[in-house]
Order: sequence, then structure tokens, then C-alpha cells
Amino acid sequence: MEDDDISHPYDNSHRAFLQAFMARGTMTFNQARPILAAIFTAHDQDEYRSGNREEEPIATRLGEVSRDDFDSYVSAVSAAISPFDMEIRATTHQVTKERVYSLINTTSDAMTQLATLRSAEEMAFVRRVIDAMFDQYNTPRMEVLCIDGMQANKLRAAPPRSSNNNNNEDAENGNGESQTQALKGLKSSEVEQVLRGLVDEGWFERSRAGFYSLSPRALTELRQWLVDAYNEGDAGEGEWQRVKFCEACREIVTVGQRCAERDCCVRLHDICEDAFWRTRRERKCPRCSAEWTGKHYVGERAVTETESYQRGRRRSGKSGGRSSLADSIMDAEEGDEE
Amino acid sequence: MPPQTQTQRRRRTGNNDDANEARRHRQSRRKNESDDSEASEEDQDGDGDGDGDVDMERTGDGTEDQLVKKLVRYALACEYGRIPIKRDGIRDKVLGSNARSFKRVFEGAQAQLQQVFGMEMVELPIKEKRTLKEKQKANARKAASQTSTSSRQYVLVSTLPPEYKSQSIIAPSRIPSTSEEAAYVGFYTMIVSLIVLNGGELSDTKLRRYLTRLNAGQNLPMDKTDNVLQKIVKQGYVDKVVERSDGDEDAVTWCIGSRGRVEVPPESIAAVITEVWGELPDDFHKKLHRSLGIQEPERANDESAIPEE
Repeated sequence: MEDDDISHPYDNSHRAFLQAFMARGTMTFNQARPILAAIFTAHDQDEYRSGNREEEPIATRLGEVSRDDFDSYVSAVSAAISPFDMEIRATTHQVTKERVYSLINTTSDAMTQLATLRSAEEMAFVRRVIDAMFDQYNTPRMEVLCIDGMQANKLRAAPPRSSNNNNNEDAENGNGESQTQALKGLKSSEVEQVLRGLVDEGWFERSRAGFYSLSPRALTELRQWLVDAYNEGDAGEGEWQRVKFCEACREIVTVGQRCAERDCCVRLHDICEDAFWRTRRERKCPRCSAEWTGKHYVGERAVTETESYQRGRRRSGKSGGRSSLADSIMDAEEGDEE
Repeated sequence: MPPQTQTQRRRRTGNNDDANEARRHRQSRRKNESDDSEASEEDQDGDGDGDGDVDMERTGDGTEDQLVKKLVRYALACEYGRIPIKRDGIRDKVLGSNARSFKRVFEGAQAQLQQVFGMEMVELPIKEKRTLKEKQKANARKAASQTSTSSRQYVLVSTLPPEYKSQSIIAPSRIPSTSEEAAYVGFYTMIVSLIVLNGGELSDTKLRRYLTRLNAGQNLPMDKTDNVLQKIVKQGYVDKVVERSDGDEDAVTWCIGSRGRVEVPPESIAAVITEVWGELPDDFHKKLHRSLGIQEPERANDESAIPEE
């Protein structure tokens, strides 16, 4: 089976790298280096023992693992698993700018995978949290796209009126459909546990200000699903959509900058900004030509940079009422809109 | 992803299939006997075809590729939750109306798992009949039919050489979190080791005494001890055998479960003991190997095991 058209050989070192990847879900180059060093060392030992190698091997040092090594292993493994609808996809972290490689399912059952170890109640809760991020807390007025612990806690039980009449229900989510009605919801302590679990597993990230947002891994894995679930398929060009893409890199923006014009859909990552403006003569929105302020935000800064948040924070000190503060700002802004 | 890699991949699948074909032919002879029972069973749920040949043609190439892929994904998903891969599950969730191709799809998936993932499905040993009642029941069943020589359940294990199994490569899974998973693996390995060293079974009182000594009597880092014990029973690392006796309290004995047997082999136990022991006496390894029965592949239940009392 090891014949012809695979350009590099695929051997135990690749299999080990794949297993290492599967245990971790995501990897960056820096995380992968010690792993690859250990794999190369093991590989040499194995060769030596089976007589394919003359001299006794010395351990591969971390510094000897190059970017090229990493890239070649990623592409070989990704090609090998693609017949099984899996793939290693890279995305750039919207804040740290680090390349994050995620092992993902390319079929649409991402939600099912996320569900395997969670109860139906927990899954329903996670679904409500993601709904809140992309629907409730993501309006033309305020694109927060994240949620703090207090707000998540409010979602611990399904709202009294049947919330399942939204058209976001997808086929793959259908298995839980009938049970959803009967679910009782979670306790506050369980909410905390689930959120912590999602952060540990690398699906969510928690910011210093206490907001939960989707991680690069979740964005990579759920990309298509998010678009299908939250964007209107028949919306016209330039119409406001819930999931928007960076003008420069074309990845989803959940943290970044927005056009000062409320109805304009141009969004930009902070990390893409420099390169983007370098190629342009003036800092103006490429679509509506409004002045680009860099002070209109997508993500938690849409809340934390508001005057009322800053004021409230000064008043209440570092801890305490901050969570509810964010909530009242988001709700107030929404109220304005109505 | 650039489009040309896509086509390259597709081609690769095709090639693998050719290779599988050859492998299949080689193996089919060997597996024939075991498959007889399989075939007769499938005839009963009859998909109406009657004729075997027609069926074979229908499930050729394209479909079978799909089924192999589905089975690989199913196996990985089961392992993710430490649920055994069941034959019945394969039939329901993977094969559907193609139940006849079980053997070929299974072998195809097995080859793919090894080639790509460095893993294979290993059949779990049959559950031992531990209590008197169970034994009697089993005997009665045996008289009625000749089956049940296989557990019809599998788990995924790594086929990589030991060099690759170091912790710096295969870290504990991030699910639910790296530290919790590490603690969990450590805990069940310890319990399995204790049971094996006690000759394959451990009374409840004795287990509790060990747990107290490990300061794990009530709580573990991840949960209450009892909940974790429940989990390792559910996942098949250990078996909890309860023998009901009238009047008296039920007698509880802890034994090795089928997953524990496959995933925690004597070599792993030996490694744990060596690590815990510290300074090793001269004849340590000899004694250790005798206790674990490493020399003979059959697990020693005889006098070579450490006596109970």
C-alpha cells in the first residue's frame, strides 16, 4: 500500500504524529516541535533496532525541527486522513496571530462530535450559548460575539416559550430535537463546569475580562455550520449578516474592527490591519468610503470600550458587578435599537 | 485547500482499495470458519436478495469504500468515548442494508486503521462468568447452542512500536482536560495493577483499604471516588462482581474487565510497579515477572500469583 503516488513515504512517524494530533485537537508550530523531536528520536531508534541504520542514533533536539519538517508532516497526515472526511486545517488566531492547526471533521457532524461526551442537557445549553453569541449578542448595533459567565448562567435553562421555532435547526441537530422539550436545564454550578470544560477542550476561549468566545479550533471546525445556521442564504450583497469575514484574510471575524458606518458590512482583523492599509492610499472603508476609525469594534471591546462600561468599572472596582455591567450595557444597547 | 490535492487524495483511496482487495483474498480463506455463523444469521434478517452473488456485485467498489470509511469513523468515535465497538453497532450504524459485506468491510477498515492511523481493532475477551449463578446460566446456554466464543466487541489499540508510545509524543487527551485525563489513566492503571497483583480479584474491603492508603478513599482530583469507580466499571477497565447472599451483606469482588485486560497489559503493570517501588531488590524483576505471569502468555491464575492472604 506504500506505493507510488504519495509523494513522501508515510510511516510510523507520521502515524505517531497523527495520534499525537488526535489527542490534542489543535497544535501550533511551537507546540509541535518537542513532539516532532521526540518522534524523530523514536524513529531513529526504531531504524537502528531493526538494522536499517548503522550508527547508534542520538536524540533529535528541539532546535533541529524546522518549519519545513512540520509542514511536510501536517500535509502528509492531512492527505492521509482526508478520505475519512478529516483534515488538518490552519487558521490564524485573531488576537495572537499565531497559526493554529486543527484536526477537524469536514462532514457536517461537527456538533455531533462535540456532543459525544456531553449529555443532551449540556448540549442544549452549549447550543443556547452559541446562539446567544451569534444572535442575541450580535446585532447590527453591537457585534459582541461573546458572552460572559453571568449571561451564560442565564441560559442554563431553556426559555419558557418554546425556543425551537428558530429556523436555525439543522438536520444533524435533529436527534436531540424531541428531547429538547423535556430537558430541565443545568444548575449554576454545572454551567460553570461546562464552560470550563469547553475551554479546557479548546472549543471556547476565556478572555481576561471574563468573556467566552469561540476558539480558532471551533471557528475552523464550525465555519460552514455557523454560516449555514446564522446567515440568511438569500440576503443581498452588502446586507448585514451575522457571520462576517475579514476584508483581508477572508476568515470569520469575531474579534476585530468594523466600519464606522453601521449598515456597512466591512470588517477587519486587528492582526490583518497593517498589511491591509499598507497597500492602500487612504484609511477609508473599501466599500462605503467612510473614514476608518479603528475605534469601532467587533468582539468584547464593543462592550468594554463603551463609556458606560469604563465608568461602571471604575466605580465598582475590579471584581464584583462587572459581569452584570456588561449585560446591562448589551441589553440597553439592544433596547435602543427597538 | 488547493483543488489538486483533493484529486490526489481521491486517487489514493482508489489505490488503497486495490491493495485491500489482494489482502482480502489472502485472508478470506483463514476467516472462513468463523464467518459461517455470521452468514447464517444474516440470512435470517434477509434483505430479500436470496442470491449471494448478486449481493456481492451490488456492494462492489464505490459502496464498499464508503462503508469502510464509515466504519473507520465509527471506530474512532466509539474510542473517543471509550465505548466498545460492537458488531451490532457496526451492523446498525455502518452497514445498514449491506450486512452481508461485514467481513470485507471490517478487514478493509482494519487495514486503513493500521496504514493511516497506526491503530487496530482488537477483540475484547469474553466476559468471564464469575458468580456461580452466571456459570450455571452459561453452562445451560452452552448446552443449547455452540456460539458465544467471541465477545463481538472491539477496542482500538495502537500498533506503533513502543518507542513511539512515550508521553512526550502521545500525551493524555485534552478531553476533558489534560490533567484530568492523566489522573484518570493513572487511577485505573493503579486499580488494575492492584487487582492483578492480588491474583486477579480483590474483595471490596481490601480495595477500600488500598484506596484509603492512597488517600483516595473519598475523593479523587476529578470526582468522588465512587463515581470514578463507577466509570471505570462502565468503561470495562474493571468488573464489579456482586454475589447476593440471603441475610448476609452482598459479597463484592473486583476483577479485571475486558477493556482493562487489553489496555493495561502485564508490561504496563510491571512499569507501574517498578516506578512505585523505588530502590529495587536484586531478584525484583524475576519476582515481578512471576507475579504477573509475563513469561507465559496465558495469564497465570496458579500459585505463581501472590497469594491472597
